Amino acid sequence: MKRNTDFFIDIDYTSINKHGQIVCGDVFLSRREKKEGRLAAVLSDGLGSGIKANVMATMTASMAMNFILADQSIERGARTIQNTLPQDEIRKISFASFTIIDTGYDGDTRIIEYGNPQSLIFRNTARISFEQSIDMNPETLTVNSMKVQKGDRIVLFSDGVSQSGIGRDDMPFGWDIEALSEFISWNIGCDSQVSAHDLCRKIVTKANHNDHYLPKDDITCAVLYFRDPRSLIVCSGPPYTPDKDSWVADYLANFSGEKVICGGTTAQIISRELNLNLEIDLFSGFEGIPPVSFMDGINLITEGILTLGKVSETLSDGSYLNLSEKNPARMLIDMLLLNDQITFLVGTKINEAHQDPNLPSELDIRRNVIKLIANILENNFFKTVDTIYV
Amino acid sequence: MKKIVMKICTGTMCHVLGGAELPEMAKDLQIRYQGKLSVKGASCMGHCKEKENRPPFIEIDGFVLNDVTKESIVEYLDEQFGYDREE
Repeated sequence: MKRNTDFFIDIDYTSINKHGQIVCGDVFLSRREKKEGRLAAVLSDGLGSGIKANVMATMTASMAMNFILADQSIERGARTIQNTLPQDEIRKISFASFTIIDTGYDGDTRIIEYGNPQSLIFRNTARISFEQSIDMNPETLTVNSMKVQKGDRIVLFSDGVSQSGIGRDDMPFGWDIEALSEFISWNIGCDSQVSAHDLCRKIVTKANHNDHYLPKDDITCAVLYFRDPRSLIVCSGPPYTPDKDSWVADYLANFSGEKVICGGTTAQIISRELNLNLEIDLFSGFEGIPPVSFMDGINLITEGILTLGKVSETLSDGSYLNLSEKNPARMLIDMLLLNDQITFLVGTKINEAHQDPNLPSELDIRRNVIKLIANILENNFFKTVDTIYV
Repeated sequence: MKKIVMKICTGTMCHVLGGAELPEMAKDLQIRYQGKLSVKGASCMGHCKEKENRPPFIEIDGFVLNDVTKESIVEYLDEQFGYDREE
């Protein structure tokens, strides 16, 4: 099934370990099934904390994920997990609780909850309830279903969030669901486009704050945000033959979405073809990356191969967060990560001046570097990537 | 009085071969020549395609200087402005 391109599910989660623990006892897994046009996610919270909790939660989450992927009914999957999981001998409760989400790009969503705090759904700033909620077993399993709309957000969290701050004079029972909902509504009100990434970080940071930055339990929050896809085009490199220059410039000008040019010569070509002024901010170079330029209608113009090389290097090992936000490579990474559908328009002309063996090896061939970046974005960040060579 | 315009190439080749330090230096130069020098950045000016020249490049009022260093730029500009280096 072709993915409905005017509906995108933005998903992210953040965890903080219980104070003093080296691993998190909460596990969040998600998988997009592109062919079937659906997304499955599981949040599992292992009893207690530390390694044992992590093992139990990992087991539960991966079992649930496999059930979904094998097209088994999730109710049955949930029931099997429930029956399979060992129980704590003293407390007679399961070793891990879980929330499973199965959602299609058509909006049909089911949420199965066992032991975790109830997930919250927001339509704009208002908290809404599920259309249908079936209690499978009075003390345990709930199956909720609803049809989500564009702009809706589903917030899942472990009890580390809802019980954060417990015992404090001002919140004796922890972070009350009402107060938590208000906090989320307020954040959505402040920025109606707030990404899943930012929202879950805000919630987790606040929960950590409630615990005076010494979390009493593992804190995990995941957000699913159903929204319009954001598109970005990255144009890099002069076309192999100069007669394609105007085609590239037109393609870029007519693209709807954010626009980036990587490469001084490419920027000059676009500037000439579109008859737009190109201006360089000489002092914007940072951390060894050459400066950025400006042109009307283009969101970011950077140098080519050094910047792209830095992007590929730091995206692959995750060290991009260490780059300054003033670094042009970081600016490009931020734009790549904020958008969902990324088009690389790659000119394949080889810059002969770069082939000198005496030059630093960072001057790789553009096509290879972009292929690397495209792979990372697709596999690690679940972006839809198209590459056009000219 | 007419300003002298200095264009610093910010292309990849110039950047890796020493040009990365030139923008910082340009700030000092503007102080040294007290407003008589205007500094601009330029995308790759294409001089690196000519084999006999070596980056980094700058253009001073259209005149191309190649393989520039801080010293060679100051030397050239001092001459243009009629500064006596011994002072």
